[in-house]
Amino acid sequence: MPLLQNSSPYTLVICEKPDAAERIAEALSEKELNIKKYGNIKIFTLNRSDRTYVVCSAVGHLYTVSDPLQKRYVYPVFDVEWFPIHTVDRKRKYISQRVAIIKKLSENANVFINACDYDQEGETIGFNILKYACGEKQTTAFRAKFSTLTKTDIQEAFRTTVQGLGTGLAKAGRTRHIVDFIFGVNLSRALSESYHEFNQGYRMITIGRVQGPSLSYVVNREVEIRTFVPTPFWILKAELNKNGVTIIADYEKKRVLQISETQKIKKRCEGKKGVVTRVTKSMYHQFPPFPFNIGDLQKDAYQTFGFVPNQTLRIAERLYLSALISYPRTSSQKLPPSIDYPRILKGLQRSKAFNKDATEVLNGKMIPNQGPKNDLAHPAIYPTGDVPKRVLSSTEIRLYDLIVRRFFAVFGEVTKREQISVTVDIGGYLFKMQGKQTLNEGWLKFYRKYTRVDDKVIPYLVEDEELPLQTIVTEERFTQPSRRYNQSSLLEKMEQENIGTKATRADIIKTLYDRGYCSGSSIFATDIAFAVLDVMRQYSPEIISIEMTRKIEENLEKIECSQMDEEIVIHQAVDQMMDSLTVIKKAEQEIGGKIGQAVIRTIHKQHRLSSCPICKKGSLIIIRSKKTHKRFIGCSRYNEGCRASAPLPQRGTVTSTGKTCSSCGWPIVNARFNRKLWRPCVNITCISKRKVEKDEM
Amino acid sequence: MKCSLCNRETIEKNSEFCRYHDECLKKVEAGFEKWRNAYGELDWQTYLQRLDKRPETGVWAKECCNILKKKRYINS
Repeated sequence: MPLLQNSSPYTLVICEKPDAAERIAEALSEKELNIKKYGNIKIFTLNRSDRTYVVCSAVGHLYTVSDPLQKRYVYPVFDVEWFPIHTVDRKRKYISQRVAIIKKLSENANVFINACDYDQEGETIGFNILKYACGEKQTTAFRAKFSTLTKTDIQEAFRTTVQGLGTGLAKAGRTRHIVDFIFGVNLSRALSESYHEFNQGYRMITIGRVQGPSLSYVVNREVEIRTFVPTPFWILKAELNKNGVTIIADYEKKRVLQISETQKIKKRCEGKKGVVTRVTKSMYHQFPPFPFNIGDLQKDAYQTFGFVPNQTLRIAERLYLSALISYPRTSSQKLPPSIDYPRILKGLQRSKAFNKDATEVLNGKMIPNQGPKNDLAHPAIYPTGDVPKRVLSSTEIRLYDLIVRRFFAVFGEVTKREQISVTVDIGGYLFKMQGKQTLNEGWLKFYRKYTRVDDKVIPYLVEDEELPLQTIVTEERFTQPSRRYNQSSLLEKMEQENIGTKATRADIIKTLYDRGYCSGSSIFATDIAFAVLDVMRQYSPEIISIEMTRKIEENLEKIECSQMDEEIVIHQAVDQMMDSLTVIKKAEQEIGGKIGQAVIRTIHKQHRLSSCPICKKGSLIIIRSKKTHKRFIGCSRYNEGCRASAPLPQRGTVTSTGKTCSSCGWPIVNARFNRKLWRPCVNITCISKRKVEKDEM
Repeated sequence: MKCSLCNRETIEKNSEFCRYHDECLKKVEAGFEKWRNAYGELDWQTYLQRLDKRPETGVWAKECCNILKKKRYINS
């Protein structure tokens, strides 16, 4: 039976996501929009310029790279093919109906339009559907290219569809998938199998082309922190008096490396007067920020709201699908005039929150401060000016506000600031103070909410003025270790080193957490991370080298511009893997042992709460009973006779606080259930609990 | 051979420490010169004690401090 009653040929439009398909159908429809539902799948039929359009959608990738054998213990695998995802991943069975519907719809279509997002991933999604589901239509299909899902943009995109646009992008995207599969699957299977062979149970131990260098950043930083040896130094400050007000000047050298020198300076300054030897005023300009690309947005959202990069990407995608912002997965920092600044600003004027600022920008010169980074596929992220048609969540509101205010700020005037530097001579030693003042707010007035301004006012001073010295303060300080990476700074590092893509970096970081390589918001590397990296360093050092992954990224860019053949890149990857896998295969036992020990150590650390208050030798750990499957606390020296144990709540999460009860010495845990957090002492016979009971009675 | 501090493989068969603790030990030893230069007079034991107490000192550096302290007692 045909899916649609009308059997005359039509144009089949393929979109990346269901929400996008709905928006595109609504924007194209001139009269009525016919919606047909097959389970959760919606198909839109509409008429436009005497032609019937059928709009259907994928849900991200419908096809994936896999090996024909699909056995997780077989490696090496170099013979790879594209398969419908549901045949590879059992969890995504729901894809099969969607693939079948697109196949059926393609039978009656005579024109095909790829309306997926215009980037490597979107192009790959569209290309694969046209190739496998629609029967090799990828070369004859048309391309609709748009950066926002607003009605005008979509209509313009469909008016100017081009045949064969984005072939380079699709080739590069497909090659990326194949190369990543060859590296990721082979190495991960080799490591997981090594672990499985020599330990109990199965555990996913993964490493990949981008994961490897990312993990090495985290581990190298961890080593730096754990091996850090601080060095002492001293700072000197002069407290001077100006009309009864104390002003502080810093010694010209930021660090004095010897205590003897510090004492000598202090001694020679004491009892002397300070003389102002130099007062300089300088004006400087702070230029407006660049328009947001995805990396900058993720960085700012983390610093301002604490959103992790992956969360920001998801929220931004929801805002894009609601036609409130342009396509977020862009690396561009440019806003071309073709996006029509006045139209957007007029749209934003309708909102109470943005009316004043939008009007001010609209009355200005309207020249944005363009950044250096460019993306041929999409401009920088900007608000569309459309009014939200649904109630936005609190996180969506916050991110939308950040994007809109950044959009205003890029059109702002330069901020003019004044810096006053004063040099004071005390006994032949020079001390300095600095003041900063904003003279003209410029773009800051739009973006003050999200910018830190370090204004500091110092009293009016003139040259040769004498200032009585109150005291010289010396402070002993120590050099500090580098800060741990957080999700935002790690993403920034990946961006700087040009590894991964704007679309995949956040997911790579999430994988590092999922595999148990990292923990905490300030990223700590676990023992498993150390073990995996050590193994890689020994047996396949190129996988964790930035040079290799960067070279592949460069080659992918060449494929995108049709300057390189994809076969060459794939063959290079295969050659590289062959050497590494041969070495790993020989050392399977050793690798399995190393990783196995690290896994035990990590689990032990995660489950350890405190030292045992009964036997004083063992550790109290969280144990799950094999018989009842209930969790409780027990001593690690149970086999040696220690019977210390305590019950735990069976629902929610229980984590260590690292603290022990002041009354009984048993651990205090974080117990969280239904968003409620409480910190009980786990000892049911604790004296502090008895007191509470007595008080209650 | 296993590292006497963390049970990782030692860098060489006859050595006592893994690559991380070996590197750390060198850093602790190099730090002594800087500290002595900063404070003027400072003996090895005081240096190790002070370094061990500093919150900035890395956990592996602290482990190295402790093992170096013990070694000194054995040698003396």
